[in-house]
Amino acid sequence: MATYVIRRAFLIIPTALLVVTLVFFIFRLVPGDVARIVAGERATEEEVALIREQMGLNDPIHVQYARYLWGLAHGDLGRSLTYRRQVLDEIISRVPATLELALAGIGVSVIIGVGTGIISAVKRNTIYDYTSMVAAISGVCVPNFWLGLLLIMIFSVSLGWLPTGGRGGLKFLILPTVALSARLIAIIARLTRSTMLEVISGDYVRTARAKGLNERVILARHALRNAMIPLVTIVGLQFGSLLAGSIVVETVFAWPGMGSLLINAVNSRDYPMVQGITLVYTIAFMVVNLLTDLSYGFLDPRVRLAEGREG
Amino acid sequence: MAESGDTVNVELFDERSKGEFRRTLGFIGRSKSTVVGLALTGMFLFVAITAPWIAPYDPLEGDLRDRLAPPSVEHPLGNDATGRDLLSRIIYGARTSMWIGLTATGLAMLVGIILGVVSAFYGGMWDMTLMRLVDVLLTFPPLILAIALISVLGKGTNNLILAVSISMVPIFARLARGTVLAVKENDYVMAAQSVGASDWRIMTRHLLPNSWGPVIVQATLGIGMAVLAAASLSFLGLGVQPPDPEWGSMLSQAREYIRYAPHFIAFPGAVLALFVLGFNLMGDGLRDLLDPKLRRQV
Amino acid sequence: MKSLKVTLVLLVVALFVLAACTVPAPAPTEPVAAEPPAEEAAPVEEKAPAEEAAPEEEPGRELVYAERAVINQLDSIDPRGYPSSYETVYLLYDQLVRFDSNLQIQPELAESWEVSDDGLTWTLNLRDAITFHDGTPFNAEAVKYHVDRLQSEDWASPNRSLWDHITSVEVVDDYTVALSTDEPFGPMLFYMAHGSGGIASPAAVEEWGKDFVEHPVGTGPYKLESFTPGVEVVLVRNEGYWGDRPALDKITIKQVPEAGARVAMLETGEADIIAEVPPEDFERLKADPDMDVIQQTGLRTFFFAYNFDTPALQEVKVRQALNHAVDRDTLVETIFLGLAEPLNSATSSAMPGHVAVGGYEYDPEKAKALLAEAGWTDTDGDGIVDKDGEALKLTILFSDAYPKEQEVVEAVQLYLKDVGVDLELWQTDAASVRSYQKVARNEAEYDLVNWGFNASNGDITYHLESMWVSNPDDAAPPYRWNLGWYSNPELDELLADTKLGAAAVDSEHRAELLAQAQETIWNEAPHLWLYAPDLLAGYRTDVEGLVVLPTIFYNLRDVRFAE
Repeated sequence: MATYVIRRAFLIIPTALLVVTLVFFIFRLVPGDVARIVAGERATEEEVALIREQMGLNDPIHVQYARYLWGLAHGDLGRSLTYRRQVLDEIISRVPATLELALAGIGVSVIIGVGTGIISAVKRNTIYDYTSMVAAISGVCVPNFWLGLLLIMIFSVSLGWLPTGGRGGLKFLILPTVALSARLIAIIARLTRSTMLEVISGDYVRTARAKGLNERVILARHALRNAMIPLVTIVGLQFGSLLAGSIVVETVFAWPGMGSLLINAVNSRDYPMVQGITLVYTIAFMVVNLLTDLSYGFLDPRVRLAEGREG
Repeated sequence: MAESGDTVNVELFDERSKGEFRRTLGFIGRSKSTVVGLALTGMFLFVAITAPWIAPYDPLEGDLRDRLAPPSVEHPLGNDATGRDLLSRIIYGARTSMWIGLTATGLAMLVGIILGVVSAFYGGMWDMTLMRLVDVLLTFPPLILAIALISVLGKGTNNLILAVSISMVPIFARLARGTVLAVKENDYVMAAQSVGASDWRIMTRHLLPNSWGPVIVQATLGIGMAVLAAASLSFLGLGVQPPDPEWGSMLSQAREYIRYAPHFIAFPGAVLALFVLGFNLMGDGLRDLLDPKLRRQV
Repeated sequence: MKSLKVTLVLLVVALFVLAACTVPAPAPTEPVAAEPPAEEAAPVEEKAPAEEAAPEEEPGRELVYAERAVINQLDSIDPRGYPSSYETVYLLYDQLVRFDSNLQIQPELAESWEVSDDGLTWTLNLRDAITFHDGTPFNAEAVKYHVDRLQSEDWASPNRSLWDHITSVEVVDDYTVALSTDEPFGPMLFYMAHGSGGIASPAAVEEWGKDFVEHPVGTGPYKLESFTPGVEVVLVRNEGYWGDRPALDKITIKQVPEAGARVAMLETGEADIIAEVPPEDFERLKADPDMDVIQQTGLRTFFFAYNFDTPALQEVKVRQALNHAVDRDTLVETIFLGLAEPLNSATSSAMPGHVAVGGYEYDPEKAKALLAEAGWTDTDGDGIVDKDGEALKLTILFSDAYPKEQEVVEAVQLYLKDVGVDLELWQTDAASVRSYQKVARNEAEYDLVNWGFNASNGDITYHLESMWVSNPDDAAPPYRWNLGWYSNPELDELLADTKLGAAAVDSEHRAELLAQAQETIWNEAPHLWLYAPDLLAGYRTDVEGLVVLPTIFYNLRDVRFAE
């Protein structure tokens, strides 16, 4: 078991290195003169040249790359061009907000998605099943920013029940979470329903029924347990989509997280900031993928056994 | 999954294909959602092509005095912030989205398939390096890569298409690689190889034609994904630039007037949702169609 | 096995519950609610020099001001985050003299002043017994230090042009300073009333160096408690203030770029004052008993500046034609709901010295006729006029820095299309647009650029000179704001006469010259004239003392809560 974990963990290092390198090169593609943007429009040629020197832009590319890696290893993501602070500090100040939204999104998605899926499976082909599945299909197609705007229109502007944006207590969290989780709820609901259906008609469940076990016990022990495996995988797989969605939702609801920081940075040409946030999102995504992989190993005994057999 | 029909009797093939066709239609007809999907995509395709003729007004023309007007007889869907007819802009928006969806997906398919086929066929070092590259692209969360690319390349429709298609390449590459790997070991391929057929010939005449199923499905779904991504980016101000009509950027403009012009928010978003829905349903339908397991049930 | 999975599910649920119920710790982006009914006793502030609040003192309370601009730097010589950076500077620093709401000069750090007979030297008598927030004394040395800094190459203040007419600063004694100019300078006091005249503590500048921009120290009624650039600025009462006791315990200036969000904050009471109320919310907020809106004619004028290096625009008839093509009145009525004034001169009606020149009524036929006279007609029937085989295609540069900017540009695009001019839109972001706007001769990639100019010292000569005096150096970006490189040497002299020399002191003569200048500029049409928006400040009715200057800045120095 331990070897499995360690092996998977180590595998991400070369990928991480490649990602970091790719990001470095993407941000060297900037057309025009980064130094001039930093220096500002009032700068003279000498000032721009000085800044170019200070930013190390005159050094050969491999020196710049080395400096970049060195900085990353020390948690130095550079200095923001708009905020005059360390990029990392700025990002850290925004992480709690994004985390709050993301966790709420996952939590709500899992609870409502699994719940809906189970009920749909159990009450198969009833009106409930039908409406849930239609809702699920729409959930995947409805753009999250549009959903967010509709929610604001209905619940904030018209009814005045909830605030239009910003972060605060629970009532600020509700609408953004709904907008963010709609898609994932839909996916989880559909998935849970189909795995439940598969499982319900499976052999060992029939055996359990034949043995005379209580229906509910059957559901809870056998069906649900097996439905969980793909659930973890799906949540892990959809995490990237959730991150992307959070960027848009943060913008719609003026939620002060990393996503809105990113968009501001793109609009103000704050390249160090864009670069830094890109890295943070990507690393987070990689870590979640790794955890998903590992948990899959935990949850599905077949995987573990396979690995185990290999020694 | 390999069909050996392509080297066999031509007449038999003809007969079979006719029957296939009828059975396919029946299968499709049975699935309500696929029909809906087909209808929607068909409609959008039609609208996209005939936009200049069916749009009642020039999408770039407007009268300021009609600014933000709600739906009326002259303007069934109302007007936007500069007084332009919303219906016409939405129609042309379909054209923009269809263009973006097809181009981005097409490009991604082209590059992805080449990568996947080459990778699977030659294996070894090729496989490892190419797939490593593809994996790196996949490591980025979906929108992030596009946002990063646009931030350095600049905004605009062309860069938007480029950024979106780059993010979609890995999907096609992996898919192509997967299906080719499955088919590679088949008899007729080895037969072709032993006869001395060139790599190129094998790839184009044997491997590719038998991989097209899942690729078509993915392409259909991909168009929906691409358009959704493009709309999101345009909503964020990073995609299609004013005054060109695009549903996402329209919603971004509408946002300022959420209190006063609900029609401006409702319609572009609804159309976008329907567009994605259509392609998703059709993609799902195609997937079921091409999945032999389900076909047998028909 | 099973327990592991159950644990996983429970963990997720717990995380969700945790996230949902988390009452976030007071992060910088948290709204500080100023609940009306609660009254707090004035708290004892952390800095030493504060006196204990005497029991008879009125309680102050905390105010939240939500504004649009990103405030980055608070050094008075170069505040970044226009216009709210200047509004913050108004609170942190005192100036030698200050405008009131009628743009009249009032003494502040300078109690009185005299002008020498030859008009070349202004002697200011400064107040004594004033200290900076850091405890160091305010005196004539501090004034000299400040003016030197404004004029220095090293600090490169963008406001240098407002101070470089001062040729020498002499410290006569601790509280007397003499400023000299080469020629009699009429608007001297107006220039000194500019926000960059906020006197900074020399000791603090020495201590912080370039980081002073984030650690401002002045003599103003409020001092800095915390500064999160781009997010908010928190000020607290300066207990040692020399003037009337500042009414508020704390002022939080929050950056809220989205207008809808600001309005929402005002409605819930999260913000007590908001900047730039959107025109469409004006009536609604005014009608609400808890809120009100100040409506003030502004000095800031909006237009498209023509690039004089574009061949087509070198012909005055073309420039005038485009001015006739745009229906300013409809623009103002529909986009701004009447809360702006269509321009009838180079300046807005709120500018002292404004003369309504008029002309350029909306007349597409006239526009087409003028274009034809300049040789532009539609010879190939494609809807775009052309000349010598070239179609009249112009590119306009704009961003999203101003309210409704995109809609105005798109609307004008349609108007120009009606008369056969193809306007291509080039939109960048607010942060980088300046680097494209202000470039050396022939480096501009646009034919027109949309922007607005506000003479933030309330002086008409400054307004006219900034935009229309010839740029001195072709190889450098425009010295001030003559983005289009318009050049009229006679006008240069005319304008110089309105501020320098004997003529400047004779107000009637000056008014004549100014009228002449405005007419010339209007007729030469170096801009496609548009509108001057009203300044709309929203506030809750328990807030008193808010002053909105025509120079678009909000003056919060005297704000207090009604009892």
